[in-house]
Amino acid sequence: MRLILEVWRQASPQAQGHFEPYEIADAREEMSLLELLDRLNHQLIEANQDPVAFESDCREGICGTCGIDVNGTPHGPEDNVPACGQHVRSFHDGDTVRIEPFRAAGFTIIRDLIVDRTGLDRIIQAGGTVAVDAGTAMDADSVLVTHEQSEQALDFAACIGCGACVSACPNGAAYLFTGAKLKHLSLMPHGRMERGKRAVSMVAQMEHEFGPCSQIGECALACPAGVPLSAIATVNAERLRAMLRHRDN
Amino acid sequence: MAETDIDALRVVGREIDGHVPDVAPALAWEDRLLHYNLVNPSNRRGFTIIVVGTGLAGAAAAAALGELGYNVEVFTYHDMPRRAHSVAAQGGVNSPRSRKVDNDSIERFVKDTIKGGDFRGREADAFRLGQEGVRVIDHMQAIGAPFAREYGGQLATRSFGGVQVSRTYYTRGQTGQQLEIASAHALSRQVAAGTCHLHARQEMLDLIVKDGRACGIVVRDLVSGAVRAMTAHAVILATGGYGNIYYKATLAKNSNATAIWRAHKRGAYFANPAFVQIHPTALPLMSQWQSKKILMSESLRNDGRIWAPKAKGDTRDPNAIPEDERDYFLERRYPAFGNLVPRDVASRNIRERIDAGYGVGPLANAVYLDFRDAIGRLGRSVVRERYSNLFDMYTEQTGEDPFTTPMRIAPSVHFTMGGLWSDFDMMTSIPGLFVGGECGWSYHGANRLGANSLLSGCVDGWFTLPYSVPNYLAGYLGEPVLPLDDPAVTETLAEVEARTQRLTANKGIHGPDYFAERLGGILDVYASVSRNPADLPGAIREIRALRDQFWREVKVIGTADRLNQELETAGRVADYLELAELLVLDALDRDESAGAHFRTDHVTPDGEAMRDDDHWTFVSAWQAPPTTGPGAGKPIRNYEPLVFTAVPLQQRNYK
Amino acid sequence: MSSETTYRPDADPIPSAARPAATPAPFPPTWALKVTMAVTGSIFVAFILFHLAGNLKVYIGAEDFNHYAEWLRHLLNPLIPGSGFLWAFRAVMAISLVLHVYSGITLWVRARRARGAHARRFLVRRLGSRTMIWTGLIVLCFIVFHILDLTVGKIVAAPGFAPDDAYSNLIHSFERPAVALFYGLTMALIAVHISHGIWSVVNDLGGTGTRLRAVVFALAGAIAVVVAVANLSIPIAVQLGFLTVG
Repeated sequence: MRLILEVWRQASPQAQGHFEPYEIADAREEMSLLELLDRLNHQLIEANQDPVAFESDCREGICGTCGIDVNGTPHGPEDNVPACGQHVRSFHDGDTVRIEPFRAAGFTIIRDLIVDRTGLDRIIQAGGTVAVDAGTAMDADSVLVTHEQSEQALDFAACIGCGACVSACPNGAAYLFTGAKLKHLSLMPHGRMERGKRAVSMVAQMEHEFGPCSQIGECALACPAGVPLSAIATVNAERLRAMLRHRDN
Repeated sequence: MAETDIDALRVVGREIDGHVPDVAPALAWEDRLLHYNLVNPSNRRGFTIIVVGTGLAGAAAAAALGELGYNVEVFTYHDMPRRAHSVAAQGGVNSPRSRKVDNDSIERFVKDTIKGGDFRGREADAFRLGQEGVRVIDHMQAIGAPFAREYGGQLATRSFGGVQVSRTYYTRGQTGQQLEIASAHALSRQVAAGTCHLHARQEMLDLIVKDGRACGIVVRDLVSGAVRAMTAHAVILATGGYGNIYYKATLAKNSNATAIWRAHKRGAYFANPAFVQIHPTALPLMSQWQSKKILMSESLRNDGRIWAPKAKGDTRDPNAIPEDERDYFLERRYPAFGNLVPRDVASRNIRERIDAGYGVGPLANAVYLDFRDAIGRLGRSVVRERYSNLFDMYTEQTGEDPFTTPMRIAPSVHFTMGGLWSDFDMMTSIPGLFVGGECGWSYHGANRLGANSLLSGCVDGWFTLPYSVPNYLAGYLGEPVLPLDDPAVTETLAEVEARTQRLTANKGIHGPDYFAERLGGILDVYASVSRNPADLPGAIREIRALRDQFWREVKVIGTADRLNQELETAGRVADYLELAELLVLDALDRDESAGAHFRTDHVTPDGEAMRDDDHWTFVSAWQAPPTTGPGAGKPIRNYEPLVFTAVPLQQRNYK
Repeated sequence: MSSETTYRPDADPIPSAARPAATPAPFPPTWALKVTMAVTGSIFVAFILFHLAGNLKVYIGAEDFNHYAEWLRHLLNPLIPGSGFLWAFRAVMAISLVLHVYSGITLWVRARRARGAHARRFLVRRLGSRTMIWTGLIVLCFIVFHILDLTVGKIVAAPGFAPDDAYSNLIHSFERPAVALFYGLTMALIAVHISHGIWSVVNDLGGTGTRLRAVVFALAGAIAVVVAVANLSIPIAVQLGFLTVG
């Protein structure tokens, strides 16, 4: 299958970027979009041209390293699938596919398709953690957690930290990411100890680098981990709770 | 294989000491803890510890040492700590908490681990793994891993391959992810607290050794290309396994061997490089462009039946092949265990069928894993309940529905039991250099049990290194770190610069991936599920020729002073080309079969791996070849004898 | 002993990853603005429903409608004398309006800044959310027009505005085709605005329950449709001649 790739090329954060058209004459249906980029790079290297810089690691949908916008949609045309699981079979012979980095003011472009997503990590550092030192935890069986609650915690803990929610959002908001962590830890017995404190610090850090949520819902459609949209409501739920209770927990 | 051949390739070195306390193995860790030196809390901030890697072991060690108050410098080549490949583990984490009445215990855990490892791991270490493993679950649950719960509210467990008790704790099919994220977040907490300094997108390219002690590392900033040094009182490597040396494995694309190989070249011994585990149920390569293999959980073999067509080169649709033309070869050869034989046995048999020309799929490189009978027996809904996430994953990757078309599976490299040799304190042969997780060796012997790798990463990082590293540091109280203008630092920096320069300046014709693929091909043929000693010297010659070709013909596009992924790959492949030779040499040297190391000349009458306990009950700890003297250019194989007192030596039998 | 015994010529030769910002988050905080939007927006939705109930009295007849208008003016008499309640109510509405508009524009500016230089593709899913700022601003213009037209009776009002005859004022105003059209279009935009607005209230006030969210989502659409259809019927009825003066 023949595909035209329009790929964003940008040499450095300061440089001006542009779309560069490339033709792939032998794209195959079973290729993932990352393998399509591999194919392109192989072609470029053969021709002594600079390959496209892009990130990926596990290529099985769990590490969250890969992240590209495909025709304006984070990861690719299929909802809730990471780029490594998106395949060429979504396109037709002769299609033009536009591939660009994740777009948001909070994500600086480092080179070509690689962006800096450490803003998400700073939200975690601000409070997405549990203050239990190694060795001091009590017996996990002595804290009862319902089956339902642990399953629900996992629904939100499943976030792979890829940043697709931010890129999908026309407001560049990180509510789905932040809400998922707030919800996950609010459902954990030890995580509940700092619930109020965490909401205050994580929300402040999130607002520092990312935009406001307008309940658009694109984030949950893009999310490869299927984090439920209610995570965006969790942000204000937890923050309001902290304001009203005025307690650490 | 004649004695003289192997002697031309290596030198037998000395017996080395694992520093296991001279007590019963079950008491070794307790005894050692009692005798460890401590560092006063007010003195801890004066010690700098470098941790390389932020997987389960690295993130945990960094966080735990940071919590204790040490100054920790953490390095990762990822953008964030959470990306490390521990995140991809699926099944679960073992812990001998022994709550059920299925008669589990620490002793039984040790027995399973040692037996599963075919008696080539260290017994005392396995005891520590079990003893400290008990509180791993408590800690990981406390810092955020939402372990599955029973309806009564207590932790749920399941049983896993190779054991008869239920000691595997899990969070659906993403246990590795939850443990990794919890650990990475614990590290983030220390980063925010200022005890750990996180250096992201920095790849370790060399180890700085001064007067025989590890004093720092050299890293390349993957964004700016700057090569710089950081010195410290101790260095911990937690950089994972080297399975990607086989080119297309189940490992993440960036996993590599550079850190451990550079440490080896600086004097750290490399233990059992030939012990590489090959998982039977991975997705096969469907086309030459498929970039890697993907693991499908072993649990599929509980209900799926593995078969290949009886006729060679049968390209018919699998559903069109009648029952009497299908060969259920595992059930035929192992009537007792059938499709549930251990990983290495299954892998070997599947590989045998494929190599004999019975492979299926577009590249004739797979066999079928068929759920037709299970669906008929249990009904669609039960099968869906048990395996839906795996079936979805298969469909996502292949576009085929396992409910209607049998899955295609093939063996794939996914774990390396070998790694840098370390003593009971997890310190390598270079004082001050410690290891944690898959880049070390010790617990898993010649074959790792399912769900033991997550446990070993957690135990090393949270509950071993935080005790043993301070014991080492206590001897250097008040001593400054090595100054950056010390010749040991500047010389190492210069060597790294020269190597980088050599790669970028080479006017070659092939990208580094070309050589990685060729090397993977050689190892796959000669040193994967079975190793024929007659072929191995030829494999070494092929690797050497490929290495020469690499340095003549490798082409690295772009410069070193910017983000350059081709340069990153080239450096990693250069190290693979050296490590591969040692791997094959170890396979040639170890004149027995053990676990995943299956030598075609050491087979029981049943066709199983046959150990030679009289001559090979030891760990091979390879020392880098000296540059001068009679053995110049030949690696030295030192050996640490293994003693089994709690679990007596016995032969595995799965018939 | 402390860190001074650590000899390090260059304190941090390799850059550490940035830590959480020491500088404060934007003020007023985004979450507070969103809560303000939700609370004031809810007041407006309640008002719109209340207003709608009043509007529909136009179908009963002039006397009834005017009586209702008069009742509004003297609500809670004699507890609050004269038009006291009405003015208090107007004050609440005005403050809400100012807060709502201020929060909305501030959030919009922050959103644009966080989006970066590259516009997102035009999303068809959840169209309302992308147009809140524009529907909001048009509705704001409408409110000004509407007050001048039917409350104050200046500038844009129909000729012959009589402060005591709300019914006639309404009919006369809607007899102008342009006004009827403007009013009708605005009602459609208000429907779009409040349908997303009500859905946003549940999110901004932290409604995470699955059932609650499903109910509010359905309710948002239903209220929007009712408001649009019922309000639209009046100018249409006037234009078609069903409602006339006398």
